[in-house]
Amino acid sequence: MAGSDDIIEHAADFLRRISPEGRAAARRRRERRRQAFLRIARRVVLACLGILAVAIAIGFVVPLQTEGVFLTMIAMALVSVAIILWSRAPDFTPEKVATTDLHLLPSQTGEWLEQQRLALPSPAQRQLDQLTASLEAITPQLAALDARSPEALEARRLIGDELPELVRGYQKVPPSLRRQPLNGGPSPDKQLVEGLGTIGEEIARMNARLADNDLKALATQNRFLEIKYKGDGEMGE
Amino acid sequence: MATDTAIDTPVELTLTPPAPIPALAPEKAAGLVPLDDTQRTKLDEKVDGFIATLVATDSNSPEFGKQVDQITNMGRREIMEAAGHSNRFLDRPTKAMDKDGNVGTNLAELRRTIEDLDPSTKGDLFTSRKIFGIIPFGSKMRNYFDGYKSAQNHISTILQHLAGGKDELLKDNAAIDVERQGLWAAMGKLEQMIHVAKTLDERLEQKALDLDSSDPAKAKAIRESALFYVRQRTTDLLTQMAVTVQGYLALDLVKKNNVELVKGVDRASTTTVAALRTAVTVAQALTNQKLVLDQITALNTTTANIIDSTGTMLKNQTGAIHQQAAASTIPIDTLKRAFQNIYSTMDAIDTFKLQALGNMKQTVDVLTDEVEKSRGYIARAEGAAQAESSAREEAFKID
Repeated sequence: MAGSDDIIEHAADFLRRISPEGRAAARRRRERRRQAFLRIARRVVLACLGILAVAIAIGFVVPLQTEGVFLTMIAMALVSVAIILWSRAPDFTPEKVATTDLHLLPSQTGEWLEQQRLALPSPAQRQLDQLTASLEAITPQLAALDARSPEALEARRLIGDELPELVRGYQKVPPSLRRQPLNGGPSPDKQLVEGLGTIGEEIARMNARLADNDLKALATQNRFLEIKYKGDGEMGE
Repeated sequence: MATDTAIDTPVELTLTPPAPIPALAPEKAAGLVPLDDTQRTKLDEKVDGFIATLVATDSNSPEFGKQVDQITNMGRREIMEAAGHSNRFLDRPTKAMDKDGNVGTNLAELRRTIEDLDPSTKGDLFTSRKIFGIIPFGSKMRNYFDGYKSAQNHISTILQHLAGGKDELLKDNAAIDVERQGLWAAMGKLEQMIHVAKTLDERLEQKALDLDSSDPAKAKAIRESALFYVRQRTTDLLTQMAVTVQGYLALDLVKKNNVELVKGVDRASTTTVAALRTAVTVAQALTNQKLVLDQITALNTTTANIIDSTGTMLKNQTGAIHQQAAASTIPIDTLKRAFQNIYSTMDAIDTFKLQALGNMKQTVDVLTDEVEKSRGYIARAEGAAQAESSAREEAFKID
């Protein structure tokens, strides 16, 4: 029987899916799936062609019997399965985060978040879309950053460390306890939502801070042109 | 006479270095950025709301601790932001001094080149040149003016460098304008936080007095935790404000210095071009020699287009020079005076730079001191914030 909670949840989920962020997230998911499929398909086709070439080469020396053809087909099937298993999206582990290039970090974290989506409560899912969008927005800025600068370290800690830790921490809480308030405080569900909100704000702030230099450079150039050619301010005297 | 003013008695170039910025006491730092009444009422309302919740919560409950944490964190972001600015503006005066050096090198080179052309160092130009002192060989005057042709290339290069240096100074000032805008905004935020801190101080004190009889335990808690942190925070905010104001004023000093220096560079270029033009006229008058200084003429047009004041000045002077050179019985003196003008301009710049450098250094020293002081405060505030966040985790675990 559908309770009112379920109905509200379904409605919220529906709203999220048709919202611009939700649609963008769905588009990204489709794109990612397509790319992963293409990558694997390319590898499989190349490997099969390789095996076929070897089989033909052998066939020129020693005629392949039925068994030979059979063996070739088995080899192709085995290699294909191996490649498909092998090419699974790499797992997101803290050790990997430490070595990933900074500009790949947001997209990796974004992907990982997508995978966790179903395990999160629906308000958090809504936030996930915004988070993914802001992660995407900060990517070009991080690419231009020196990996050893304090800002880079800060970004790495926030995106690669603190954000996953929050989500993992939530997932460790037994589902039956997730909705119960903790000692009169907020429930784990609410804590997760609040934590994601804080991280989202911080990413936005980081984005603004990283853009600060470029914004200032543009303003300076504009002011310089004003001073030089319009004689604005004290310089004209 | 108008002709006299052009070359004989040029408008004296006075470049005044702005006075150094004295240290600013933190107590005087507040109130420099005005807050309007609506802002004040809004902040006061916030303070009242905060005090009401604080008084309503049990002084032993974790909620009370959370409220006090809010006080210790008050204005942290504002302080960090202002401190970020101060890290940037500290190196700006030093950089400005370097840029002066760049302009200075070009001015020195210009001076050397000009000295080579100065008619007063060439002896009597009216005697004729003689080989071995006996055989007459051409005119010394003609030879002298030939020197201009070979020098013009070099001079025009230097003048172009000077124009580039001037652009850099202007750009520096543009950057300062932008920086000051940011600082002003940061100061506005600090000012708001200071207002909040001071109002909190006042009203908490009053509240504690009120509670002394009815709820002495709470009054004690308010005095010992909340009020204590409010006062500590007020000091931090005021210190940061003082540094920021100081930096704001120091940036203005750098800007004014640049403006003066730009004036000097403009004037040096103008007087040089004027002297060269005088030379052209004098050469025509004395030796009937047509001195062609294409480079200088070309430069003249571009300079006049860029620097408006130079343009007008040159226009006025050209007529005057022509009249003087033609009318004067001794036109070579006119030329000597034109050179004198360049020298006095450069001397004025040199004196200015010497004084300005002293003032700037003084300002930088004061500023560095203040920034160091505020860094101490920030480090303390950061330490407190970290300790507090770890304490929070501890508390979370115990729960």
